[in-house]
Amino acid sequence: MLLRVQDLKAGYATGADVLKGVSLTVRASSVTGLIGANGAGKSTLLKAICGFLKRRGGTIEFDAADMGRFQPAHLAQNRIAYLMEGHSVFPGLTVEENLVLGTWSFRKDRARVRRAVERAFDLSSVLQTKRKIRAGLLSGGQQRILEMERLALNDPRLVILDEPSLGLAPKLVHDVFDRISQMKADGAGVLVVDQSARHVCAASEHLYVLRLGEIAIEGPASRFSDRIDELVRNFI
Amino acid sequence: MLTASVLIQLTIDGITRGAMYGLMGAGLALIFGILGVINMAHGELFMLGAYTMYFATIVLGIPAPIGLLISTGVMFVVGVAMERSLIAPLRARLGSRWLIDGYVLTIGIMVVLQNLALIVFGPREFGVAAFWPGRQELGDVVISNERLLILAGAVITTGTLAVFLKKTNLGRAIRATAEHPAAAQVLGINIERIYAITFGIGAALAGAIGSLLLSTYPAYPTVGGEVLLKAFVVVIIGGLGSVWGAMLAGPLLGLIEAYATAFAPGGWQNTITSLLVLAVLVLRPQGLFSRQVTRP
Repeated sequence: MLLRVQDLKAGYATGADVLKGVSLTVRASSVTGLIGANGAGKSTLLKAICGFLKRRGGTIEFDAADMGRFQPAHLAQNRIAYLMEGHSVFPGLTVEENLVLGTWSFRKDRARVRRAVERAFDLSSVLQTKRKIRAGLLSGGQQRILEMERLALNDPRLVILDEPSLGLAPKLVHDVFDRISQMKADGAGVLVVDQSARHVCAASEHLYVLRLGEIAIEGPASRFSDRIDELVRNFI
Repeated sequence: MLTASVLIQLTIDGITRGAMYGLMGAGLALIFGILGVINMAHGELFMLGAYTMYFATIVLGIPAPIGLLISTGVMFVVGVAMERSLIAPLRARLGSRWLIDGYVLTIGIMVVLQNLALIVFGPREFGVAAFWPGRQELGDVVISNERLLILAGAVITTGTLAVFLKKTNLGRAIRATAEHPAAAQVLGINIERIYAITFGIGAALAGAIGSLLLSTYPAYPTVGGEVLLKAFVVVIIGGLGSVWGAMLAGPLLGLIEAYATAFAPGGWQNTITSLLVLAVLVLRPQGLFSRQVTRP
């Protein structure tokens, strides 16, 4: 098991837990979907896993090792990629500089840095044409592509995505989920939170529904695929 | 008498002086852009650099260029130590609510450093007439060697800073941290280390300028005040937190001062620059040279 979260409790204000004991697992070479209404605690869960929020109880194991004192700066060296809520490109830096920074964890290996960056440009012709343009001048969709390619640069073993399709045109939503399948094919375990329940369900092997800080339903995604509307109506 | 040679002379004077203001401002802008601290003790870093240069070159007899490198290095270490021992603990305790506290903290550092200097060195001015006496004459234009030295120092320092920020991994990481610290962390950048190095670079810049300008501003405990004021003017004109803006605004301010001194009645020099600051704040508060990049 790549990631195992057990009975996780976390929150912002003292005394009020947003997550009231959440357990979930992510396997390598698979996509795990997490859906839920606004305020259910999806982003909070991802933040707690990545060390941006202190947990108040429970355990988080990555590759069977405890992530207890995990700091965000440890993510990259453990090959964990995290697409945080909102936009995370560096707007004043060029597209190329943004990508080069994605190789920070192996920056001493210059040949590998060059290879990784060139591969990202090969994968995305949009980024190739905007190479020397400041990232802040890209459209929202192009920025999302840049973020996705940047986080894929160090061959992550675990990919944690917070709303990758938010605000994107339908065509781009497809592209994003295709890229997620590609990461899975490359061997990564992907944990994806997204508001488009249908896409998440179609892309995932396993699905969790989070409701008010607790897992309400879970199971193989194939079990939900024909009753996703019912699921959305009842829990989201 | 207004002749071409006078104009050239004024221009060289203005740009030389202004490049120094620009570098002071760049250090201030760098520290503000990354740490979110308005470093009120920036002038005192200039002061410490000037003392270090004096003791290295005059007391120990080290050649000026090496003295400059030594004082720059010493001030980098002082800056890193200051950030680690004073600023980092405060930031850790207060989280995001620390803008005012950081401001007050650096005012405290300013007062302490001024008075330490007064105790250790006394109120005496330590200065040199010139590191490189003599002058060059090109037709009617006369430039002192000292001015050339300062200009060369400013150009080299500005160029080094620009290449460092633009082309090196560490420079890119510093710019990334300024724009989105959390995203930088996710990529594996140790932002605490970036904070310390950035403060060190700001201190090293201030120290280098204090050293270069030893013949203009001798080292004494409160020499930093006037320099800090110039640095603030530069930062406001260039755009708060914009390093490039500060480096461009510096020479602009220097030119205005040089021309104002020559063509306006005495005392108007500071009035004109203050009016410029007012105009920028009212008409273009983001600064003359800041680029705006929007987030969708």
